[in-house]
Amino acid sequence: MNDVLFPTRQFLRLVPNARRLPAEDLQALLSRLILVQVPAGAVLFVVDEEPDAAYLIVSGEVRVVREVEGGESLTLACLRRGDVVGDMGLIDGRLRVATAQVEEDLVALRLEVTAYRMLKADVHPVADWLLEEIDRRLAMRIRKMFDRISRLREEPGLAASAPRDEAPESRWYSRIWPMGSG
Amino acid sequence: MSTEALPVQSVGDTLKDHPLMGRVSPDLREFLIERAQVREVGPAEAICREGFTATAWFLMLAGEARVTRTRPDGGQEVLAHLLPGALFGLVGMLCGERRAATVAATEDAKVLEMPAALLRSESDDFSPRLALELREILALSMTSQLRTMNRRLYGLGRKLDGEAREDERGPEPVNGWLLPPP
Repeated sequence: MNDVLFPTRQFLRLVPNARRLPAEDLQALLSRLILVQVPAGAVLFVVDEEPDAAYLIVSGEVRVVREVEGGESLTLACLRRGDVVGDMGLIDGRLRVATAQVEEDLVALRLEVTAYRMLKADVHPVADWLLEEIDRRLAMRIRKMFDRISRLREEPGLAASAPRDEAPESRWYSRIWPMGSG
Repeated sequence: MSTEALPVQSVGDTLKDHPLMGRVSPDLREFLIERAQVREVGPAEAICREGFTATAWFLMLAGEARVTRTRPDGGQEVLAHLLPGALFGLVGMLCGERRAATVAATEDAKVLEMPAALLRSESDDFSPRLALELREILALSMTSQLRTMNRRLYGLGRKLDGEAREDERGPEPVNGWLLPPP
């Protein structure tokens, strides 16, 4: 745990929902967050890597990208102050699906997977708050992602191949979770 | 639409076989089963509606459904298809906003409806451990969905560049969500 904690007041400005945490739990959370500074041009993590932490951005900018052939990259998200990056790996432990590039000098609070798992194992109130906060953020991200996919499907060249009012052909479907007899 | 008393044993078995719900403790499964309700819906019947307050989330037990929303021009856009095993209705509930989409059965279907109030339950048998487990299941469901959406976004980006490959349609998600083809 940290000896030097990120200032409480500054943290509450960054994550207003943390006001719901009792002071003791807030301190417990802050003691598990590691302040990191990463220069522009560096990467926080790369695609196919084992997840080791999630980051709450204090300042700077992170671009989440996925490489495509020919050296180009597709930007999945641009994240700034107050955003979280790497939380999906924290939750499901699966390999990173994208690379997080630091676009502008970054100051962030890092929560390591091991610290998160210990909080969960202890059924610490901070774990409950963290999951509630992550759930809310994931839900908002899904909503935005639907908007983005919809816009992309409207692009010339895609719209014609993606009928908007019709279901995809049935051959696309397969039952991926066979039901029991019940 | 009709509701029915829970055939506890069969729903319990079904939950045990589910890739996510099967991971929860027997206590949580029992807690959910006691408070959830099975709904039977016919073809084209709505399970939840765009613009309405989100008061529950759902697990598709049998049959299939389609997620649609209204486009700015008044037409309907297909966002996703749901197969048995899909957890849905989480986004509006967790964002605290009205439903952004309608989910309607495309054939005779059965869903397990779980009241949103469960997450705020203060009953004695909803311990902090159960609350944590439930929040984690919701997070896992949404990360799985987001990974699917990231793949779709990536596939659409490549298709715009004329580089899409057949194998970028898959793999199919583990939680019963299918997005329309690019």
